[in-house]
Amino acid sequence: MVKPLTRKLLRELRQRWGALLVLTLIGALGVACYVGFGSVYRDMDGARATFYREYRLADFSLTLKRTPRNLLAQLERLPNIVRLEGRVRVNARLEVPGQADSVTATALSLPESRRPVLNDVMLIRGSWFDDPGGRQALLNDAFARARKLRPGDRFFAVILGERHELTLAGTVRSPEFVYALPGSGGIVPDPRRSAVLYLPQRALERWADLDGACNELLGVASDARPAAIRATLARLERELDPYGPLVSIPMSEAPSVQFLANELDELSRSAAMLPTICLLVVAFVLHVVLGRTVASQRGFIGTIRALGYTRWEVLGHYLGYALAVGMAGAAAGVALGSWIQRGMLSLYQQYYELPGMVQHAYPRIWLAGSLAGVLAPLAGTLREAWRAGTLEPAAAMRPPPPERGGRVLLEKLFPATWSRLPFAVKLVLRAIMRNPYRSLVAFGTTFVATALMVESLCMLRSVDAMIAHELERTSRQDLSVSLREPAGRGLLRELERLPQIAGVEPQLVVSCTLTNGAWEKRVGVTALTRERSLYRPVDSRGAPVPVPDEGLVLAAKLAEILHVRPGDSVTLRPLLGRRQAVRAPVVALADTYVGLTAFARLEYLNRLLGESWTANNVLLATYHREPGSPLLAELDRRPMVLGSEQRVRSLALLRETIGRNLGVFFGILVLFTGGLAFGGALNTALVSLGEREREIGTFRVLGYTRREITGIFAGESYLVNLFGLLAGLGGGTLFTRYMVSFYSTELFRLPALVEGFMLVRAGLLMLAFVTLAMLVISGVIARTRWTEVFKTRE
Amino acid sequence: MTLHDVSKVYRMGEVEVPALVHADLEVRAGEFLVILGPSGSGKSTLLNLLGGMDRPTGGTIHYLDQDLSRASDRRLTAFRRHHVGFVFQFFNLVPTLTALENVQVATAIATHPLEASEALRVVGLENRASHFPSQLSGGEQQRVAIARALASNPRLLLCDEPTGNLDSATGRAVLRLLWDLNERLKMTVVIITHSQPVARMGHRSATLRDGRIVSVVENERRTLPEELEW
Repeated sequence: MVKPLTRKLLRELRQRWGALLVLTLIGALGVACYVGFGSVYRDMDGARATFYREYRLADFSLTLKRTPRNLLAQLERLPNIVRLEGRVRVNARLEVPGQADSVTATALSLPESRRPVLNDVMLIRGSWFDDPGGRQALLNDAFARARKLRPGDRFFAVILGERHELTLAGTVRSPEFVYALPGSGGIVPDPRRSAVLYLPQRALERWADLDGACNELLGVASDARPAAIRATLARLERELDPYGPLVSIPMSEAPSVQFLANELDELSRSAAMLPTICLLVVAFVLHVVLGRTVASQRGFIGTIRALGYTRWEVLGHYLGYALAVGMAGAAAGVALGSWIQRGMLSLYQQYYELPGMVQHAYPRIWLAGSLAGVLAPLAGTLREAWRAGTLEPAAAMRPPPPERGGRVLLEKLFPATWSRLPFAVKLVLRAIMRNPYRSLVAFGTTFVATALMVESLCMLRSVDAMIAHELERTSRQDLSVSLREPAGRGLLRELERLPQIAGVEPQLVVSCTLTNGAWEKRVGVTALTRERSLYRPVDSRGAPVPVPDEGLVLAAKLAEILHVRPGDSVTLRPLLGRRQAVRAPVVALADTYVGLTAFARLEYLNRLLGESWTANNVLLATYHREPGSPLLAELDRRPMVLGSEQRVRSLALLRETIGRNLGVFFGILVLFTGGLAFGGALNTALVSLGEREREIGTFRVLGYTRREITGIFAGESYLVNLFGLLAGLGGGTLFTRYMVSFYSTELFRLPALVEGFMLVRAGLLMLAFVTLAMLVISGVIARTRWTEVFKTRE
Repeated sequence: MTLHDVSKVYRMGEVEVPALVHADLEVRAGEFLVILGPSGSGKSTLLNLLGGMDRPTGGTIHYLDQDLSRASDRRLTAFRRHHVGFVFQFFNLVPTLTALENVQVATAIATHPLEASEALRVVGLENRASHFPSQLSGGEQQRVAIARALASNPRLLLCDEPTGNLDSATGRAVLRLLWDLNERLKMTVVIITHSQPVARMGHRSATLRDGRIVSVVENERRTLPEELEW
């Protein structure tokens, strides 16, 4: 049999289902974020760890010019090195029969007869190399699928100007290319343009002119901590100095590894932050709701205590509200969380070539999320429930002490101003200040929701501004053509004569180390001509930054890392040519948001390299914004051309990808914050309405219209929410700055853009959500039979 | 105001509860009318109908040339706003407003209101204007409620057990105030009470029992509030 107290609880829950449902949903949202993000984190983290371990991802890599393989055994004896493996890595251009555009790929060598010890690959379709002739290849699976290539299909690879016909043996996934970026540049994966080609070792050595040698070392260290790895790499660089080490990086700094790690960091942060906000709101609002319930049920509490119910039974009864909200929220949250998990995984599967990234159920996460979902409302109501339990029967039977009236702070401080206020305003102000806790909850909810809203809108805008900055203001070419190796003016003149070409601009991009005392960074220095117009460094306002004849312009982030300012100088050592270190003055700073770059004059960098005049990248302006395929084919025909990239296409891809992913993410966040604002405003207004129903009855009897009464309530709600909103705009500005600095990595940065119209838009959105809540309130006022309220006290 | 064959039936779930049955009553301009009856007799229902807080399920209520029994919510609200003052048993003051501000609740929406301070002066509370309800005695609170009711300058003052929550001395003082308002300001006063003696101070008294008006009596000689005994 259901106990009478339980029955009472159930009936009261049913009576207030509207307000409690809103709270339950907010709680469910919190639990869902925890379960969803937490589970995706575990799914991905687990898959990542397994993949890295089972396919033996190296701890570091070194790119060299040419190293004889027989040197490896000797190098392996160096301290902290467990294993070294050499391979060939070159750029290649892929041509798929029947498909017009060619693709720049990374070609890597794999041993023919055994699996590589480091950076092994996982076979997805087809088979390993089995033809001793060596005309077989493997491709990364995502590219093969995007290009509809099946094992047995033929395609061509142009390596060092020579075209080789290949047969696709199989498709693979590799731990070092989980997040594969296009070979021709870009910051989002594009499966159609992100190709990794694996070739039998001897064939690639021959085609790359590296017989018996390799140009990349992969290594495993016994102490894999970053400092130890760096020391080991420094030692290796010294040993290998004659072989020209170009780039040495710990694997943790490899783009794919770093992107994946950043994404997981973000997931775990979201899994903590959003649930905390939701559950705090639920706890605070329930506290206010239960406080009011206990106050209105004093007589009932006194009666059942007089009948012999224990204080624990009373306490338990009043905790029942929180328990019901918490349990319903937890159950809905776990279900919703699993749905979020599935949705996010399928989104990630589009971008990450990570095997084993499938949905698992994590009972521990469910349990932890459910516990948090139940405990938060319980904690919020414990004080009020305790007060109900400890109410002595005799005291409970007496009417509650009359509500206190009295001057509020405002009228004590400014009596003259106060006396001139219309009474409706006084009513609103007194109601707010007499119920500081209730007001604080409403204020806090709106504050948090507004801050999140500002942050969401500003981050979306920042991403957009970052894209425009990089691909519209800084880069203005139609096509960028990368060359296999530095070339002279002859090639430039040749390209100028091609049809459709409106302008040609050479660039020289060279890996260099920049050193300032203890701070050192290896970056690509981009050298430009004096009359550049297709590519120019700009500052954050979009104004071009002139590149001096002598010296460097540094990306602001790079200057920060090197601890230099304009006027200082750095040691510049190109990793090409004579590789001679010089002192280079830092002349100015430019704002770049992708990667770390330094800019110099083409002649200046050539001089440092000991070259007369070379370029390894050519920017083209064409008469049509989208160059036609005849021009692309004409470019591909040239052995010197490694690949070309259309800016319009990169821009479109970037906008589309970001529109899809960030748009969905921040769209959810905007809805979430709106729901929070709506739920918060609705609940506090409902509580206030409940506490003041006699007042409303009186006002109605005195001839106030519904609209006038709604106005008084909306006034209170709007005023409190307005304060929360204004504070939230400020808080959101700070929060955006914090998030931008949090996102500011060497790979990727965002401009901190908090613009007036963003704040206005966030403010208006929040007002709309609060107004929606007020519409509900006015409906409640319209439905209430206000003559009934006078009967309740008799 | 004229009530003709007025009935009010409340529907409580599946049960119909007749609260007022075929009532005929005339409220004359300027009179002091006492409606008498035990609890459950339909007094409050009658008062709600007189005050335009509710509509009858049968019969008609006319006030001047308006038919209140068919009036819209908006018309009823306007009727209350411009023509009726209410005094409740439990005062129903807004606890967060001072006495003066509580009166202003009414003057703020009335077309020809008294000065709020004037209304307080009429009830003898001009010195307590800035006190909050919790700082006033029960009698004082009821006088604030009366001040609020008369401040909108209504023609009709409806009082629901105005002395029900007061001790006898304070109750007498409140009745005295209502008497004076009727005598001096010529305000029509209707009091609902279950207290027999109060009936003797009205020009007329109507008695309700089980939802029916069983008698309407004219008092030959009205008893002054000070002489009432209960």
